[in-house]
Amino acid sequence: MKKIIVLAIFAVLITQSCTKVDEVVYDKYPATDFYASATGADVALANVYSQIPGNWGGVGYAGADNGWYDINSMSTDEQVVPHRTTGDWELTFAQMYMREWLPNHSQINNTWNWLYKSVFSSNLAVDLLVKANADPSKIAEAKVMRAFFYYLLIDDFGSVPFYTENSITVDKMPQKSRKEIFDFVVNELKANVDLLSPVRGGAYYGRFNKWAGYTLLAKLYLNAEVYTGTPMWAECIAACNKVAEGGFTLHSGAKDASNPLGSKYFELFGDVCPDDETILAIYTKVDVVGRNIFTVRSLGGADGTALIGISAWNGTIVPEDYITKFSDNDIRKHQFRYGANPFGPKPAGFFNYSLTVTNLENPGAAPNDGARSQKFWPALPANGGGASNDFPIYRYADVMLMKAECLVRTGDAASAKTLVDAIRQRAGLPVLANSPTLTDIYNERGFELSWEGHRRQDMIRFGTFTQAHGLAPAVDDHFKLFPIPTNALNANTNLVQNPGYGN
Amino acid sequence: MKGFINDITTFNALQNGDFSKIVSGDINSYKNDRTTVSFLGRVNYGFMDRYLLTLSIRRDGSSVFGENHKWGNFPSASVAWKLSEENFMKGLTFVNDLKLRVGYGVTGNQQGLYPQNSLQLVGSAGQTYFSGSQITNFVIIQNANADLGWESRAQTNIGLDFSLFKNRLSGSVDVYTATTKNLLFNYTVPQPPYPYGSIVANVGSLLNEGIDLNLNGNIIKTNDFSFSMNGNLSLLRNEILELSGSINGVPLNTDYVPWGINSYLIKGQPIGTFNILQHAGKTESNEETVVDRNTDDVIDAGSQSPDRVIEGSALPKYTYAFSPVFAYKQFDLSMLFRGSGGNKIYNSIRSSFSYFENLGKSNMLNSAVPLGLFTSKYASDLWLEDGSFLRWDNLTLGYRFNTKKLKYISNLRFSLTATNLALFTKYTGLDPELNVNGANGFGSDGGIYPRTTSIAFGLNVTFK
Repeated sequence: MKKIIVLAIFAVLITQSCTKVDEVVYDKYPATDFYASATGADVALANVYSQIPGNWGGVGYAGADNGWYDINSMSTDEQVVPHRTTGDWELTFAQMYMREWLPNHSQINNTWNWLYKSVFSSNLAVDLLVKANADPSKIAEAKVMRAFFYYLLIDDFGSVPFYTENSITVDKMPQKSRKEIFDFVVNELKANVDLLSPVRGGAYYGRFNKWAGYTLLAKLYLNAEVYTGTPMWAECIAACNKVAEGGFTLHSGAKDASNPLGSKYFELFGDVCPDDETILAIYTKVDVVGRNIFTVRSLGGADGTALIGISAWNGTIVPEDYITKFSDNDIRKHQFRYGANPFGPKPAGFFNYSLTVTNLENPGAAPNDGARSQKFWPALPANGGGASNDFPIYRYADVMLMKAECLVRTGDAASAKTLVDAIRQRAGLPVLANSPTLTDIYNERGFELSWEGHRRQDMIRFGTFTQAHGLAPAVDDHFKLFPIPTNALNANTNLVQNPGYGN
Repeated sequence: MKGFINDITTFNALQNGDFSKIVSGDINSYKNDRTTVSFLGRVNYGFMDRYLLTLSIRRDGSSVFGENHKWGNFPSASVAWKLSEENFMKGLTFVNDLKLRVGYGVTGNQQGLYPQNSLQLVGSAGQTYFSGSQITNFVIIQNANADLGWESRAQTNIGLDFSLFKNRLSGSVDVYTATTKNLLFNYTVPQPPYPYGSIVANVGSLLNEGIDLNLNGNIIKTNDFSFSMNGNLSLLRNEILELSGSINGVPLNTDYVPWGINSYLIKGQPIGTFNILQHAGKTESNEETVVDRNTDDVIDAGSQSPDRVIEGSALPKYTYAFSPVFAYKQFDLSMLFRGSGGNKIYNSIRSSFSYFENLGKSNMLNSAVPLGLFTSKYASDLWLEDGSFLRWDNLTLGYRFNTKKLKYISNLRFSLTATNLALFTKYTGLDPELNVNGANGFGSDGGIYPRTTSIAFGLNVTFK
């Protein structure tokens, strides 16, 4: 006999409601709903600013580690974190100083990611503000910030992917030449800077007002020859003059016993950057908005405990050849700590750092080797994760030196002398005996602006970047641009790597 | 409500509020749901007790996928043939049971997906400073993926079940091959154009194939003494067929995804393949040197560097176990041995403890740094070891007392059980069974808590 068993189950549900599998969101903000309002557009603008403070993961302009600030500062003669003979500190920092970086360098990758995330935020803000019919000054502000990030991109990487609409796909994103993006940035600034608010401080502290916009424009003109081959010194002078209309002055350099480093000058790097000189600052409150790790990262562990009550990281040092250029009478030299009788407080148990460092990589530097920086003397609140010092992106002393440089380069060194002398006198130095030379300007920028993120750009413009300095040997010219990170090349096979980095 | 930027989430996400005196994290709420709808049809058909057929199809929809791909169809079919029932087998008296099975099936997977994974979301991310005050900052915390869909696994299986010699020897052999397509994975994506650095997407496919062998033998069986042995052996091979694809029409070139120290997901290789720099020697200053394979005088430690070389995988090629069981009069004894092999382990902790710079500088024996290395910039194959092992996992010895004459006790057994008795391996670390999964240090030994060896005495009494 045949046995046949047939079993069939058909589950057919007819009612429509039971077969819907649409997503219902209860506890999150879907982007389309969130930004479809005036408050949403404001939040988008605030979010662009939130990209600027430094934080963990190599994000931000300055304040934390492993990002834009480190690659633009450690690749120069002004600072480096050596590998220590105790095995502390990875080599990524010393590789920057020695100019040994490769396209997979983590800090370069972080910088690239941060900049493009910032470009995305700016694009989003511009788009939303335009759609929301926002105040023209806010639209201009978002556009100027986007210009700022593209300026940082061409400064570090040269020719890079360019987009202003977030809907673009990566394969259709063109890699534009350094000059094309330079032109975009300059035109965008020229069209928008005058729309920005002229208010200094208050609601515009830490924001791009008109004066910060002109400073940015001046920076582009100052480096135009590097970016495009054509110098624009006269245009730079004109932009600097526009900044001067903002009524900025040099902050006082008077003695001040209440300041740990003995001078009001160091208020420029304190809790709040003073409005008289500061053009654009990064507001910082540790663990809340960014952080400023620079002094905590530099001091030795127990030295930090003795000086500021915080166990420090024993990281960044200032190379000897950089410090020895400073005059002993220069109040700016107080930013360095070394020797048996250092500047600043000397509590029981403070460290005696040797000025000389003989090795950065293998076996590395002995624990107490290398001078330390206390320029950003930790502002409270502070802890092992950094301090709350605001960071000056642009200040008037920089603009004065930029103008002086352009004057010297265009043959008017006599007019430049007043500007340079004012900065020297504020620092407790005598005026120059003669009109300044380009070398004088270059050195003065080193004295005035050390650890403020300008050094790489300055060294490239003055032709010193690839020369030997300190423990770093001379290197090939291709190091004047950072390589496009391996991750970016892998993601977009249309990208062309910068010369000298393989591919 | 006060302190909320808008009312979109009502009371479902209280942490979005800005209660100035309350520390963020003090208040929390969440609400989400996952809707899954399934249609299922199945046919079972048996013919002459010899041929068995099963067919099924299901159509599943889930809310967690993107709006373009919420539904998937998953068919399966299997046939079994009881060979031992056939007339031509009747003459083979030593065969008690013989059955051939062939199956094919597709299954869908939504594991690992959280509700709302396909939507572009905005979330608060700490504070920022704007217009003269600290305000809550909002950022995009997830990329949209309208194409997010089912991961599917298509498996073909051929198996043979047998029982021979009066059921003294029985077992099964299975050969299978399975291809997983549209793998669900949290991919790292480029930042242009994505606003967030990763996206949950279906890209890539994976092949798993292998042979499973099971044998049970009652080898000796007398009145007083019996000895049986159970064993199994699995051979497995795994290959990443594809990692790249496209998301929302954007090509995504993914390869060499980091999966552990020196181990990666590489197209055409098993999961967790070691792609590693080769140890060469050391410099005069006792710094490790590695082989510059492309002889360009630059050691590139990047994941796709030509200086790296593929040296095996963190996944075992075979696993096996066997368990002998003895019984003699009232004594019984059983043991379990198991092992695996064909895999490599990156001995990360040994590397750390082998550089002089990481150790104390005085009162130290020379034997602590036998290689004389002071430091290394690299994580080379010097620390890559064979991870094969055999573990004597269990021993149970028992004695059953004769309780026939006892008035109150029906059963009395005394036993001794020991676990983790011995480990046979060439691996120099503490234990080659690392117990790490996923992309977190896959195949590397960063130090584990040692496995304990235990010995337990037991007394089992059953009262009448």
